[in-house]
Amino acid sequence: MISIRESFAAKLLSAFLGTVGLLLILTVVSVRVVTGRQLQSETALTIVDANRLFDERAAVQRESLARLSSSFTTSRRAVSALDAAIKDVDIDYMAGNVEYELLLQQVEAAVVVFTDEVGQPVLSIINGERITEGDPVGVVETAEELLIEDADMFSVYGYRLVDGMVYNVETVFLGLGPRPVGTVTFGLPVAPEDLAPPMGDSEGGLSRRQFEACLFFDGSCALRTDGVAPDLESAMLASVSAVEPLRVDADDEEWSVQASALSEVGAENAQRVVAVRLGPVLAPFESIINALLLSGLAALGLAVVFGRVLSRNLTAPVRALVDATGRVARGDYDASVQIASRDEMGKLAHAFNDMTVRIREREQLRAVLNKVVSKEVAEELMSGDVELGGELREMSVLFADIRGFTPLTEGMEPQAVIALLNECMEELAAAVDEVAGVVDKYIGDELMAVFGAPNVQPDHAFRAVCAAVRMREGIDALNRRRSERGEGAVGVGIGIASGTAVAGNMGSTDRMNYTVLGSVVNLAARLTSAAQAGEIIISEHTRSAAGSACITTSLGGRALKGFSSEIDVYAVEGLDRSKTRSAETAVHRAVRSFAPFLLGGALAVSGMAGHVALASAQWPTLRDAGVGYLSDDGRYQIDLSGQLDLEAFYFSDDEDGLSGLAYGSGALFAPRARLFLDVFLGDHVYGLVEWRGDRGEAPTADFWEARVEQAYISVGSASGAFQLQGGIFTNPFGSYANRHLTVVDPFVRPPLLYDYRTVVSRRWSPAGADWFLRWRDNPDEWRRDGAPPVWGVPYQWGGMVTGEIGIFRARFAGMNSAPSSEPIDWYEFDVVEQLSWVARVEATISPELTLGASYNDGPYTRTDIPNAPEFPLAGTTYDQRLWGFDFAFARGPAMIRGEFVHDSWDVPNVDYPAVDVGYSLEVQTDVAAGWSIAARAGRLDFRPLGMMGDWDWDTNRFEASVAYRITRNGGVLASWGTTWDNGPLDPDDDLLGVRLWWAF
Amino acid sequence: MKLFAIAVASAVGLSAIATTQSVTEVEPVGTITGTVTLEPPPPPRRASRARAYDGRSGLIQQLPSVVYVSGPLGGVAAAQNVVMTQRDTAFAPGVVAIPVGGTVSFPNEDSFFHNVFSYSEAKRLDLGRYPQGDSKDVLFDQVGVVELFCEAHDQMRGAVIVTENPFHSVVAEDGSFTIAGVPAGEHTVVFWSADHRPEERTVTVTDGGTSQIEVELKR
Repeated sequence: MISIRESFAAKLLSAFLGTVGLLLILTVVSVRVVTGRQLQSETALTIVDANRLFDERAAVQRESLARLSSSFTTSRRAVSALDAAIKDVDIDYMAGNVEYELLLQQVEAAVVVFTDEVGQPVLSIINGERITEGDPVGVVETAEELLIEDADMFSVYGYRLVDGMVYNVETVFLGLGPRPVGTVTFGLPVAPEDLAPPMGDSEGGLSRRQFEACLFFDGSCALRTDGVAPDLESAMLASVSAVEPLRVDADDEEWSVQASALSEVGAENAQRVVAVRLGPVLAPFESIINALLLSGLAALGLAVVFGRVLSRNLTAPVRALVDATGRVARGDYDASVQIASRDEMGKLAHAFNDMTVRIREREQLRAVLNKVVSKEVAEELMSGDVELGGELREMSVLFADIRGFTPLTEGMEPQAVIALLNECMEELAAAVDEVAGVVDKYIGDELMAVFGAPNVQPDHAFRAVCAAVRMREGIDALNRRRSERGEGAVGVGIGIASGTAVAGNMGSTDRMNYTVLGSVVNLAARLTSAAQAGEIIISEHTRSAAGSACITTSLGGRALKGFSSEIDVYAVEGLDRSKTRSAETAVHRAVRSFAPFLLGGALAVSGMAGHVALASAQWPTLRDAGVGYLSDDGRYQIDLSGQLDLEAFYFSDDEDGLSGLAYGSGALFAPRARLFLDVFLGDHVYGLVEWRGDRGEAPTADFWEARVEQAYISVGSASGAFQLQGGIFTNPFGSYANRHLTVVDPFVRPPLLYDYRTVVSRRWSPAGADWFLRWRDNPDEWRRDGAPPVWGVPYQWGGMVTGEIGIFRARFAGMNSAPSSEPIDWYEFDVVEQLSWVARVEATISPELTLGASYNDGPYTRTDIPNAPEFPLAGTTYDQRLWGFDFAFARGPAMIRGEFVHDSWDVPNVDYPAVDVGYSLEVQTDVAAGWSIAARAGRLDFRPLGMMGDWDWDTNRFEASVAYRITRNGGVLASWGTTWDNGPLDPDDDLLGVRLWWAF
Repeated sequence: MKLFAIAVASAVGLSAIATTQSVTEVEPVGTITGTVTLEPPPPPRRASRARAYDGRSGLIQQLPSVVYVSGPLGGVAAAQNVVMTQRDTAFAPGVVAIPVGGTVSFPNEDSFFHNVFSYSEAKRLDLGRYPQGDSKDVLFDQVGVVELFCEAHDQMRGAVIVTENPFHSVVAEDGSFTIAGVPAGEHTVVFWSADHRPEERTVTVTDGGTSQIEVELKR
């Protein structure tokens, strides 16, 4: 089994599978998220419907009760009859009358209870049965409450459970003048139809109803709709103690079950439980998921097949190449690859074969060179840029000459002479190599070595002396071996001189020789001549340069051939090993003894550096901490990053005389945290998931709300000019910067306080709107750069196509959101049933100037709110259309941006649409290192709508902010914004914000 | 109106003559006098809903209390005709006491219909609706208190106290009452009020004497 790390084929296959799998997972996750939201909202709506239905039916029944009790008590008959009956203890007479009255009223299955003036029942009639003993309906407590002297009520509604039936009851006080006589209680049975509409009554009359319901009294079901099976009933009972809706399987269906307490009298321990059928809601999503999984599996299968075939075809030449490369690495330069194809692989093989030929030639050359010149010189020659000429160098030159070579070799076979010479020279050359000297040449029985050239060696003299000592030792060892073989001893005289000499390539351009020239060379040769066998003679210069580690003996001045004056020469006795060692290891020893200090110092320095970095360069990031994955070739990347915004607002919103809406003044802490997961799969596939926690979508929301803000996947073409995107992401229309009144929602406003979603400028463009590779290429321009947090607005799900031709870039998206600027439409965005369409074209006129045009068309009313009197438009869809132009001009650190948005929406009963136009101008610039300022002025203008006049008051807005970037990925921002309108009272709203942000 | 006044006057006069006659002719008699205190009514309830019977309870016709001697005493009084007019949406007088066997006339003097009824065991009656000028007579042949209402007008209330003897008194507004000419001896005196619990007291009447009774009626 070849591990993934080692096999290209496996990598390719896993990339294939990973891409398909991740795509599948992301899509399924997106669908799941949407399903969850849809389920939640549908369930909530259904439960609201169910409860409203029940309440309405109860209200109707109470009206009936009120009519009944009213007809019984309008005249004094009932009360006087009761009074007389109590006084005269003649209940039967009254009971007969009451029964007759009920008959007249055509009240069936009713409960009637009379009590006396202390609340004791004197007559109960339950479905025609007359009971004069006890309290079968349980009215005493309520009657007593009504009968106490300072009771401020005349009647009490409630529920009673009598003989297993639930009754809606009303107990009414009866009095004669100031004197209480008693009470009467009427009850009407609650029917299953009061819990849910009967079958066939639901939408369309065909499907089953959306929910079932049950009434529990003291833990047992007293009333249920006919669709409640026993296992559903027990699940419903279980939900009584649950706070959140329960999701249960019962009766082969999925349900969401939620209980709500009945708070009425007599129903203190009663619960109304609604079970919502999830099947109809889930079905479309289930089929989507199924289709996704099926197509995903098919895609996986295809990916396996294609991946295998492709990778096998692709990797066969790669394997051949790997083989050949391995052979070359082992030194077999005859390796070649035979690939017939003409594709990149064929070219690669051809190139490889060319390469091995060249390597082979070169290696042959190197081998030859190595034999004739020193390694260093060979290297320098091989590197190619060899020129004639030389340079002055401080160096030491060593000659070693075999003494008595001629008498020694007299009578020897020529081969034996060469063998002896080679044996000696090998020993000598080894000593030179040992101290990284260069053997310049062999002259007969003589060797010339150079130290300090071609490589600079400041301790060239010491090295030369060391080499000489090693030579002497080597020759001694050689002589021992020779004497063991019964051969004569060899003697070597060594001379070393140091000084300045010319080193370089000398000769003609056809044939050059690297060598050194100068009096130093002559001196060394003369010293060698003067040296006896086993003697090392060095010049004064060499002695002083080699240092005290050389133990030398002065030989006094000598007259040498070619030198006019006498030269002081020294014989090397040996090396002071201790000094040598200390010299060699001085640095190490220093390091060792000072290591703790060095370590401490390094830590201190790095700590300071870190501190400095913290203050100036960058705050810690997840990437620094090693979070994330990057493949070796850089094409697969998983990146986790985040941003924390700690923002506090002070707002002042005067009361608007017209609407009466005002938030008053106050402070608000609105922190938000976001986590981004970026996934790059090759150059074409990108996925993003953004989690977000903040105060929620409305200022009234809880302090903390966490949700998936964005989750989408993009597939781009190779050139990046074409891109498909699907999932939950932001509307690409452009800026709505002008379109929000503080009176509606003063808090959801970055980066200049009032921005909240897409902005036209590429520089400020958030995640979903821009071509993703730009982010990777220029992360600094994007959210790591402290780009504006886009928060508080639910993003929408939809699909988007982006295309780029020349200077134009166009986007077309279908999304499930309303184009409306009404926040309520964002909160409820997922109940907008129809898609809205967004189109946008941008033209990059020059690197500095971008022009854009956008169009957005879609419904702005919700069609699924049945019979809501407060929503007169329910059931009808009205369209809203926006179009706008914008420009952005950026030069250096400054940017100017302007926009114009025309918004029109249909209005009921008016033949032509309402219109408003918004326009704004914005300037941003960096003013000093880390400092930047921004300002925006804008206006929203409502056009007159016939007789209705303006739809709303025109609004002006001005905003300004100052930001300081503390580090590359963190900073502070202070901002101020104000709005004022032209209404009669012209209130203005101010918003002051301070923000600390950290992109991690 | 005049006719009615005369009728009342004559009725009172006749009863006074009858009393005087019995005192002089039969046996020694005394007087029962005293005061009746009524516990004040509870505060009116605040209406919770606009409904017919709500809030009107305070508007019901207020009836004076009646003190009468119970039991057959001094023979059965002669049958009498008493008139209880329905005038200005009220029974006038609100309370009459008659010996058993007496008849009460209920003339309607208002310009609209009235409908007198009672569920009291002593006399269940329902006179039906009748217009101005009509009058209906009812014979009270059983001892007891008959509470009267008008079907059409909730606030109307009256009572006929059917007694076994002629000794009774309608309590004055200041609470005082006097029953004169009661035969000497030990008697049970009943105190009745429409909105209070009835009380009974035993009293000894001496010849020519005055027996004093103070009673407080509880709700």
